[in-house]
Amino acid sequence: MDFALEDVLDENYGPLSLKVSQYPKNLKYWEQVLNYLLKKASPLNKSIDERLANLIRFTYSGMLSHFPFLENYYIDYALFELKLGNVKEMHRVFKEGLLKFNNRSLLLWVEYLKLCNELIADNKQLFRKYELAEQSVGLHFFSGEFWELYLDQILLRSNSPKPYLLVLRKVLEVPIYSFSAFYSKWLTAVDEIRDLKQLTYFLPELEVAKRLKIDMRKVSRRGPDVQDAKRQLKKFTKELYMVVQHRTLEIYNLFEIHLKTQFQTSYETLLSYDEIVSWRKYLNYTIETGEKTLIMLNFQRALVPLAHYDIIWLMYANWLQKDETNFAYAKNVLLQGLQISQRKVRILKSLALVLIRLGKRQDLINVFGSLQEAFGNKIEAVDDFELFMDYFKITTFLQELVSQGDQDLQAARNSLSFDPPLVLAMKRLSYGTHKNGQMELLHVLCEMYNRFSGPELQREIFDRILDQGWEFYLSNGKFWLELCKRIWFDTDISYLEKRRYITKTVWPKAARYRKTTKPEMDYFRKSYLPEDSEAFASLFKCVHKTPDTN
Amino acid sequence: MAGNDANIPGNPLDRISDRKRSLRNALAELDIGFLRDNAAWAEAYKTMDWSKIECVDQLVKSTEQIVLKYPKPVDPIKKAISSVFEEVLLRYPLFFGYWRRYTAVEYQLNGIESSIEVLSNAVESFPSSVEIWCDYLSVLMANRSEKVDMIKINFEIARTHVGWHFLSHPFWDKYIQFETKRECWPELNEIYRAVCKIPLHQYARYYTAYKSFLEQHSELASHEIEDIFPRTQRLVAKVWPFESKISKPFFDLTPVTQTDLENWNNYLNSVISSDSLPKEAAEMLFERCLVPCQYHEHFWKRYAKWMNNHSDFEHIVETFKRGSKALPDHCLSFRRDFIKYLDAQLNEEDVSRKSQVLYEELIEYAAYWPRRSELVHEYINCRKRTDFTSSLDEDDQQILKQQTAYTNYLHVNINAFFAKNSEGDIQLERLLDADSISVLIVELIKMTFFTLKNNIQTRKFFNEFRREPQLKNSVAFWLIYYKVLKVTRAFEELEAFVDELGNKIFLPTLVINDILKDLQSFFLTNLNFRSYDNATSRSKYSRTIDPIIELEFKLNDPQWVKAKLNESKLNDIKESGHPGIIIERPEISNSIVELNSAFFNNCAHSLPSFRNLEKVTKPPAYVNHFKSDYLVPK
Repeated sequence: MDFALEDVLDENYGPLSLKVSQYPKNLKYWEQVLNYLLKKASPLNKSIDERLANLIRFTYSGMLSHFPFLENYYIDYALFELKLGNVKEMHRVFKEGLLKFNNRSLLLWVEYLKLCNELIADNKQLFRKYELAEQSVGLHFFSGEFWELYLDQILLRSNSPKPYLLVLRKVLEVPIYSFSAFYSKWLTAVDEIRDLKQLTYFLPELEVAKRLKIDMRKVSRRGPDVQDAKRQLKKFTKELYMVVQHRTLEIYNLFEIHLKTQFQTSYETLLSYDEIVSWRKYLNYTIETGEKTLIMLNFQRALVPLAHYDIIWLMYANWLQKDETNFAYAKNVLLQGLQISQRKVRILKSLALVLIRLGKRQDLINVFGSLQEAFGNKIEAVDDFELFMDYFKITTFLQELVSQGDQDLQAARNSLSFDPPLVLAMKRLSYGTHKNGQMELLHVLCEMYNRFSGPELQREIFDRILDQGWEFYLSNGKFWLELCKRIWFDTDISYLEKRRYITKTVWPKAARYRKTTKPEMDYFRKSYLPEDSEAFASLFKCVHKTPDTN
Repeated sequence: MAGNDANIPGNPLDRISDRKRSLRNALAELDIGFLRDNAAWAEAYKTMDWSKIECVDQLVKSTEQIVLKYPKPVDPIKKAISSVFEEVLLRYPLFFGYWRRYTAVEYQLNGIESSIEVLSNAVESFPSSVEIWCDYLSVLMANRSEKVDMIKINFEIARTHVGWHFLSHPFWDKYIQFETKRECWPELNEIYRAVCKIPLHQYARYYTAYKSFLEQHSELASHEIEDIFPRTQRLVAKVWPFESKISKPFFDLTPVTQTDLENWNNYLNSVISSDSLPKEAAEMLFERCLVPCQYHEHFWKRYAKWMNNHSDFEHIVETFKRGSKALPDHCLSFRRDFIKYLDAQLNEEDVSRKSQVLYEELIEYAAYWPRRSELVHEYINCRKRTDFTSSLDEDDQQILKQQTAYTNYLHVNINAFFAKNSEGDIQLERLLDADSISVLIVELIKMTFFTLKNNIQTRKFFNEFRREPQLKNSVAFWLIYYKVLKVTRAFEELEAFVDELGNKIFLPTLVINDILKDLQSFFLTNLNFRSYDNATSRSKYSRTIDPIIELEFKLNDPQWVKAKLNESKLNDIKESGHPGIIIERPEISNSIVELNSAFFNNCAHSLPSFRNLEKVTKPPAYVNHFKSDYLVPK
């Protein structure tokens, strides 16, 4: 066994592993390399080369860190460890996998429990696992298999039929795909009642007298009462069946039938719009039921195929905040989403808001500091306007309000590496036509009444743009409209000053670009200065008559 | 493009006819016996569907039959018959066939004088019709031959209206015949010279006729004629491709085909841009085009635009007015052009007359305009410009005095509206309704806050008007309220405002969404972490809405209220999964699904109890939210 690893791995390994490191978000390459390694290592048993085994382990972990919701590969990995005789490792893999799902993975639980049935002799230890699984995935629409396993183990490992019936009674109420199988188990159990005493397995003793009107302590002629009790129990069962069937069919027909993808896919695989919509509708439906366990389970289920999209992460966090006011949990969901989702902007914003709510100032500084770093300290150059605006707003929010006179003091207290809003905004605005949303940014600046005064804004932004003569702004009606509004809404300037400044200074400048600025200026005139129509008309009069044709 | 007008939505004729419903009942004065004898006719009139040509035709036919049945009827019957025709022709003045039939009927009932009167009305109502002019002039020549001057004047009027019509040769023939009979050679020469320049279908005939005329009258010899002919020939060649494609030159109630619309459009392009054709040619073409395309806004807009560069105020206004009358009510773009035109005219002289035209037009439009706010806004802007002029060259005090006076004017009118008294501006009063009063209020607030800079008074106005039911759903009012709160940095009030949105203040969800997004951004950029953190640590937001986190919860769910299960929420649950369908689901009221078997403690569970079990087979109830939430007031 003393050979170099390179001897086992022929020249094919190099290109495969290179592909994986180049395109780690492509599932196909991971699968290729894994298949290759497993083939080299087969037959899998205790005697395989430790270094090869470690390589396989690294590959599994690498793959699962990029695709944390690949249920099948956790199972593969665990089985691999089992074949190598590492039972402890097998447990570790399953537990780690379950942790990624917050324990809400039906597939992992079923496979894990199947192995545990064989491997764990201690009843208490085993049933603790079953109870945890029940708590996590018991309401899963396809949890029938789990419940079968559970009931089988109870029958096998318990002396009394009572625990079996107690659990079975709960399953009856759960709307699951294979619900009717459990009713037949229940009805068989009812049929097998031989004595009134056994009724306490099915319902509390008090209710036997109260609801079934049967005296359990009756001495003579108990036979007819047993028959009567069975009949009544069957009647209740039938009613329960109707209710559960109604709910199950509703869930199935409205939603489950439309959900085709139940596994995590490669990043470049897109899901059909219909499927995404179905998930959304399903989740909204579940939220309306108000059953918290089920809601969280279904969110976790939806995340398996839709982890690459931001939509489910946001819905989940939103529900946690809105209905549960659980901001800490929402934060965790968003953090995980930030790692996995392809589109991060909205998740980042949501996370920032949650952190604000939780009072985590330092976390916010860290998050936005690293965002700034990620863009080489030139966040203003980012193409995504939404991302820039979120950065702008949140970092502004983190800075102290500077009032006139104590700027030095405030600057010392700020001690943040973020640019002050006016500086950052000006940097962004200097990109002119090369970036989106410039006018929106200008609008936001004009409404930051509490941050800086009108003259300061005029000096730092508008005058500088005017001085530089940036065509992009000067030829844009919205720029002039913002300028007019800035002046008009300034509570510190008198009416006559405002009116004079706009009609005598702003309009003549804007009129130089009358072709493009006229509509917005006309809108302003109509809204605020109709009496200056004549002045406006003479400034903005088109030199050429419009052609008649068309 | 003309193509956009090809689809006349709905039935525009219905709405036009509704506006003309002010007509009196034509049969009102007839006695019951007569009506019983002619029940079919009376019925046809009463159950008239004015949008269907068959019905109109049937009515005209049956009216003519009445005339046949009663050749010498009594006055009330005569009057009724005339009234029916008048009504038809008032609604559809472009049906020249009906004018002819009316003339014939009038002739039979009331003699020649009346029939001439009808024709005179006809040329007034439909002046671009060559046929009607020819009829009129023929009748005049036959019956009024002594009034030569009057006939001559009418020929000249007709010439301005239809002289440039491509198919106007019957008119020109008649004119030439008239002048030939009078032997007015110089005038005839002038007519020939004019007609030879016009691209007519039968232009060659006039050329030949003119030549022989000149041969006979050598004293009138003209050298031009040899030049004119080829020029006219070229013009005819130019217009012929378009003329030959006109498949429907007359008016009827069927839609104009796309090919025709495009042809008219191209024809107009060609004539307007041509240097060799005078403005009369373009005007005639517009008039002709608007006969079949009378309901097409596109052509009216083009006509008005063209007029704007080629005509004077009176003519332009007349064209706009004609278009406004002819077009279906939903064609607002053309009417907006008219308002815009009049608005621009206020910068020129004669302001008071022009503003009066504008006011009258606004009031007329108010009858069918979908939302009057636009009109009221235009009205008060115009008032401000004309009655409260304040030029910047004036004295400061004078300017402020005018602004105050305007503010008072607004206040008086608002009070008059709410108090239902007549102290306000009467014309404005006719424009105002529950929806558009907000324009006045918003303007009043803008004046008080931005111009007079009276913050206390602004607050007072807000408090006064926010209680008015008319303003509960006024977007303009609440946006100015929101704006003022932002400008004055009233953060607490902004929080209260957003809490009321959707619950006490009913704005469209889209508007609410915009406000919510904007307000969150406003809070982030105007507050800071420290103050917010202080507020949350004092659990300020445990009851009121948290402006950072919770505004998003209201997005698309304006009725969302903090921790409250309201009625709409309960309905949501019933409709869950299938909006609009309420299902009373059967449920287990003592469900144990959320219990864990670890906590069963070896005790059996209670038997299940049920809710709505009997409804398991009940069909679901459908809810029409549109009807229940929008159409029927709660």
